[in-house]
Amino acid sequence: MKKPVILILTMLLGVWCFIYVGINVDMWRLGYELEGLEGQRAELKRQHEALQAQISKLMDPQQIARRAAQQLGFTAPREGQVVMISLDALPPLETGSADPVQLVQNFLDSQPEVP
Amino acid sequence: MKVSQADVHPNCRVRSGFLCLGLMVGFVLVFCRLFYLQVIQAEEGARQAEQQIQKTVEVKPVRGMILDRQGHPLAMNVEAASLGARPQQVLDPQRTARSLAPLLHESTGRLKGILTRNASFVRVAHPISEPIAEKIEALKLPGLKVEKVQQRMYPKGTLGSHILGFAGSENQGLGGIEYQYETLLRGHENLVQFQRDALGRTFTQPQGQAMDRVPSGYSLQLTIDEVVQFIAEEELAAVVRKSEAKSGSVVMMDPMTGEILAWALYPTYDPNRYQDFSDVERLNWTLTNPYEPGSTLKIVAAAGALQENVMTPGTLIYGNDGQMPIAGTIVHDPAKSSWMTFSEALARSSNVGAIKMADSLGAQRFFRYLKAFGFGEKTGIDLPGESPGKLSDPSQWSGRSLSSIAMGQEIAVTPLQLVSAMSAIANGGRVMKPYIIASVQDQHGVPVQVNSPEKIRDAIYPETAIKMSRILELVVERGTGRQAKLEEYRVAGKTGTAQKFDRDAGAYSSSNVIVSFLGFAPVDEPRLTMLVMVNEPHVGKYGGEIAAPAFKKIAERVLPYWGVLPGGAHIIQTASALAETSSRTVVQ
Repeated sequence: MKKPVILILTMLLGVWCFIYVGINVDMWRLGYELEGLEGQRAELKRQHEALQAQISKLMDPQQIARRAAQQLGFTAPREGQVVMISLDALPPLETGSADPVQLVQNFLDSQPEVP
Repeated sequence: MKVSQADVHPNCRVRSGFLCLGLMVGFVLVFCRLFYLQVIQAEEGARQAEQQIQKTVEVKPVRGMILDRQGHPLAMNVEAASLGARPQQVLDPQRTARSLAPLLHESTGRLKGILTRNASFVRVAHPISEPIAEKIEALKLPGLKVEKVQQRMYPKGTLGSHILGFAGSENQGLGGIEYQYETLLRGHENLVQFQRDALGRTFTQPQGQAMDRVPSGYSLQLTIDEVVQFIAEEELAAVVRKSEAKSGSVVMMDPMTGEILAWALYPTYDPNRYQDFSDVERLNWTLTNPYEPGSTLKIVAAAGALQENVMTPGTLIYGNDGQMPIAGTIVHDPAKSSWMTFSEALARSSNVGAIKMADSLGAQRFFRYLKAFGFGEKTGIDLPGESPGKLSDPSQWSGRSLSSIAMGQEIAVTPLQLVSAMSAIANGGRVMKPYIIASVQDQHGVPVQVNSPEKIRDAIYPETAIKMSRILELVVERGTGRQAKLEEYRVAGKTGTAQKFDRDAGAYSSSNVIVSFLGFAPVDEPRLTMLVMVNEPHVGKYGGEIAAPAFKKIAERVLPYWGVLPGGAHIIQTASALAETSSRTVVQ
């Protein structure tokens, strides 16, 4: 009666040792894997920073203004070319809206189809 | 078959007994040793094991970024290659220098000098481009080492350079915000532990606590908008060039909050190449060097006189036909006038009028208002090197001082003090503390500190501020500041033309002047207060003809950019877009 119990206990101990060692080995393997991923993350972060620097340079208002003028021939609007609209100055529209500028804004936001 | 005890040779029994005893003693010894190592010496053993597999290194933090109010980077970090050398390990300095010279565009002699220095490590070139770094590495010259280091980079070049300052070769802040907030931006060194196996490979303990190996300093978000800053710098450069002036500056502030919206100086410099510029060129002289403001300071005497009810906007002031004797000298007005109202005196920028306003207050009360508006003391802005200006106590004033200060002489102020004082008139009498850092953020962009508007004191009552606003609007409508007038917005302001004191001659120069325009817009809902200052112009002579148009050009670009329309609307359309939109709306 004692022998099977000891055998079973020994087997269970063996299984436990096997699992314990297996888990530990797997954790070490994951450790190396994590290290590799950490390296990849650092490299991607470096690339991200380099790209962000490039974007920031490209979005420099000074550069944009220079390119707009030199490559596209853009010039600053002359006096009178930009019209400022006062809310009070606009007549009410026939659409029934009390606030014409609100209509303009809705129109711009939704881009409805024009017949 | 079972073997009985009697069948075993006695010698064998003794031997097996000894063997069992030996094994038992052996096991007991091993057990005792294990017990000693695992239980008694457990801590020491663990420590030794850790020492063998763990390596602790000090990691320098990544410097925090500086962002504009929209979150666009103004100062950031990039990885750059750097070439260093250990002179003792360089076998043939002459040959090494000759090989490097064409790649680095340096002379062989200079490089040889660096490579033969008596130092353990020298930096040969920094930064170097990636292709050049690869070429140098391919040469495999002994004693040389190409390293990757973090380098400060200013992606917008000269934009806002006098405010940002710059960081040196070791990434330490040396000027402006970079210097002022060095501790926050730099962050703290981090001790990072790596685990190494017997082969020297690093690995991570999965059960270990996750942590950022490379720490980062805090990032700073400014109140400055890069587009507004660009507009200010562009228009400032244009006016300085047009007037053939020596230098100029623009300071723009939100009068309601004290937020600095733009701060431009001309000539400017590129912080990416800070070594190419002198200390003087890199200095934010508008903060450190106060100047005599001239007529822009007349707003203080006027506000004081109205506040104390010693005068009203309609009070008649005798103009003395444009000249007034003061302590043995004659003060002249640009235009002769006999009688004028208080408002007209300010609109015409009458010296006689300003003197009479200050006289009506008296020295003590006038001094009190100068102090109330913040002159003679630092504004407390979070930038390094701020000057308090110069305002002496009335007990030290001469017989001429009251009149001189009323006209903006015998007093030294900074542009920021002037903008702050004008903001008080714009916002209803409150002197706000100017600030340029909107928030401090951690490396994940989460704000850890948010700055909010702070009132320093009330300088005048709101009713007085409203009266002053109307009078200053008159300056722009019909007075010396007409060229600052905008078609679509109500503008209030004051011109200034200050003669510079010639130390050699011991008198005010008639040719060297500082011209300025100090104003705010829109009057009914002020969004900006701005000072345009031009130093020593050679084409043109008055603030009204040089600085006022620049104010107008900046304001007429900035206000629509913010979506500010007359009447409080917030939409802008070009004429063509408007026509198109209107027709479509009608069809709809």
